[in-house]
Amino acid sequence: MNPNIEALLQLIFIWASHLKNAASTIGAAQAAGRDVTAEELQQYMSADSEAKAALDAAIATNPAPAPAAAPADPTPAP
Amino acid sequence: MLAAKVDQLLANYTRVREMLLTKFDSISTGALLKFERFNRNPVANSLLFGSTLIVTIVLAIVSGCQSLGVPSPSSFNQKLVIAYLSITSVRESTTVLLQSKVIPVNDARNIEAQADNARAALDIAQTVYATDPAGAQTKLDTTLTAITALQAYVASKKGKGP
Repeated sequence: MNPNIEALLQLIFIWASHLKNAASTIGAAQAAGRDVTAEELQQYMSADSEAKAALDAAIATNPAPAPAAAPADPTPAP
Repeated sequence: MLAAKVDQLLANYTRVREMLLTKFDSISTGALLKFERFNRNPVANSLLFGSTLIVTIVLAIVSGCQSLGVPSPSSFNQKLVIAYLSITSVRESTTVLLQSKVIPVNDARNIEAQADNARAALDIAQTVYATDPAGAQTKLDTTLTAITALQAYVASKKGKGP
């Protein structure tokens, strides 16, 4: 499968999962007539930290492209 | 209600994805060559991405519809949940795009730096809220605007090939 399509499918999956989590947490809090608790908030902060670690790892394994080589000096040597 | 709908959506997505992968594995050589030509055609690819993005947007609109019983964030903490989730989503999307070679590593680093700034701002807003609720709310709102812009930037990269 085209890696771009595979990536897009993954992104849709990510989006749907987050939507589900948010709806679950906020919906449960509102249904119970309370606010989101500090513990619930902490879960989302931890999830972000894990996502950051995964992105850091992906960046570390993808080296930056080498800079373009300087063009040769066309001036003839004296 | 939404959770059940999203569960169903995810189950459907998994089934369709596995079906597509299986089909592409067992496809005949001639059809595979045609698919490869289609795959390398930038116009066809753009159309495919466009249609998928439209489906995504429609799902977002439908899922965000109040008539479906979707809760919208009202309190400071509920908005914080959305903000943290959005940053996580940006990071995960960036990871997928980087691993798929859709974006270069420099771009991923830049997105991550902006996500880090947004995260730091959210942490500050959360800390300040106890003593200055109005100031914390303003900081949260401005940070949400920045995150939305960052999400739009990442979304604009989804349809671009390497």
